[in-house]
Amino acid sequence: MEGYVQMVIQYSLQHVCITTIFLFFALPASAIDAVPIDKPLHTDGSEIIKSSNKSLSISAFMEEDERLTLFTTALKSSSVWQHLNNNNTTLFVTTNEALRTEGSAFLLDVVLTKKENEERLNQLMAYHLVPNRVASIAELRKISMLASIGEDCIPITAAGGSIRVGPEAFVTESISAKNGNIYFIDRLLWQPYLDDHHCDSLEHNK
Amino acid sequence: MNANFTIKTVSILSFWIFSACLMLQTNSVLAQQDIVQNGKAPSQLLIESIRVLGGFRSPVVRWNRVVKLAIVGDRSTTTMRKITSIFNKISLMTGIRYKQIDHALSIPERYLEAIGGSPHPHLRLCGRSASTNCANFVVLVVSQELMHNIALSLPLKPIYQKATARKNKIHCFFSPTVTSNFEITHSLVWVRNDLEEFMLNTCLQEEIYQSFGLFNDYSNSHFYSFNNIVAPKKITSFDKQLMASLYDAAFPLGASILPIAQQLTDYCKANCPDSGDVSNSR
Repeated sequence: MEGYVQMVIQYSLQHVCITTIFLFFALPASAIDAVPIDKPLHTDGSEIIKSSNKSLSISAFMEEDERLTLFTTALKSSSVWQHLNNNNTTLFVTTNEALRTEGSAFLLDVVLTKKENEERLNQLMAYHLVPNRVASIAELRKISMLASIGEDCIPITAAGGSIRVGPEAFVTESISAKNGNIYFIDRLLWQPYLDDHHCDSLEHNK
Repeated sequence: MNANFTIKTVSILSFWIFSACLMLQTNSVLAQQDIVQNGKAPSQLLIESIRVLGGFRSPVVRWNRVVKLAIVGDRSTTTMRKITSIFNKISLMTGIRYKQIDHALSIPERYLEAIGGSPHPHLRLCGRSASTNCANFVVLVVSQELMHNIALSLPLKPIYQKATARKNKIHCFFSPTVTSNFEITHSLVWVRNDLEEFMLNTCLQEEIYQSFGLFNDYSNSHFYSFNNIVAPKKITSFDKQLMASLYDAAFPLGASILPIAQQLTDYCKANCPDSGDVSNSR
């Protein structure tokens, strides 16, 4: 009889434990599912951070933000830096952390800053600057193609809550500055393929 | 005396064996986490980098022109997307752009038939629009039997013909063509079409990356995914960094690979502690 009671208690305890574990894991998952899909999300499910810093120009912001030192140094070494003070521009940037995670910090920091790779750096950085202001995430979501300052096409794809820029990068943060907007992306922009057709929908974007 | 000596010897031996075991165990625990911090890693990284680039006496060998990619066999959306994503990432590190060729021989049997009937068998696959638009990088995702027949027909080197014979079971290989001026001008990558998805992805990324000049494996490498281990793997940040270093225009084709490996090692002394843990660097 005593053994039977013990077995019942043990079984009940096990049942409580299993239910608790199930609830612990199941509830957050349900909470994530409940996020409306039109809300801007990064690929990992976190929201795109939006902020405004209208007192600073894009170049001043770049020089102040310590998360962007690698990208800023590369940008300054390129011919693109001089265009940052133009009015109505859009700049895509990558943080030091993202560059290290992607494995491209070495590329920017060591390889492309050499004189022999100057042209490659200029091309790479030119993909990140658009001579039009894309004023908000909502506006970016509506665009299918942007023309960079180097007149290359940057495809924009809004899927679910996330926004992909170029073939591989995703937007994580947006900042509205005095003379344009800055969008943080999780990896460098690059046009890897030779493009036979030019920006078809550019007129639409202007 | 003899007994004492024996006991002492046994004690010392035991101590050494015990210490050695302890060291081995400690090393295996520390190897991945502290490999950069303890100052041992840069030289290990240098050795592995040199090996992956082909060895101490190897010259700089790399692509120097646009890659024209043709895919034969499995052209499912998943596989095509995987292949283009690999090329996208490589292109950033190398500065080499690629163009996908829309050719008429994507069905493997038709490809085999075409190269079999040609008086000058070659790897080239040409676009539908222009005959001058021919592939220099062919990715074949086909069965081993078919690959064996293709290897005989092209013909590929005997090593590939033997490797794909029915008695062997291999997953994938790459076969680059290097000219006398150290430029990679063509490459053929083969991956079995019956692999599980994770092994298919591993094979695709490894063979395509290696086709760009990271020719060698380093057995059980701490840093590189090219480690002779047949298991699902991801490209590491070191793989990408070494690729970026190889395509540094400061080092011309045919020059020594040593400074290429050295500059990555020097950089990592100061900047790679976070990615010293191999599991984090992937």
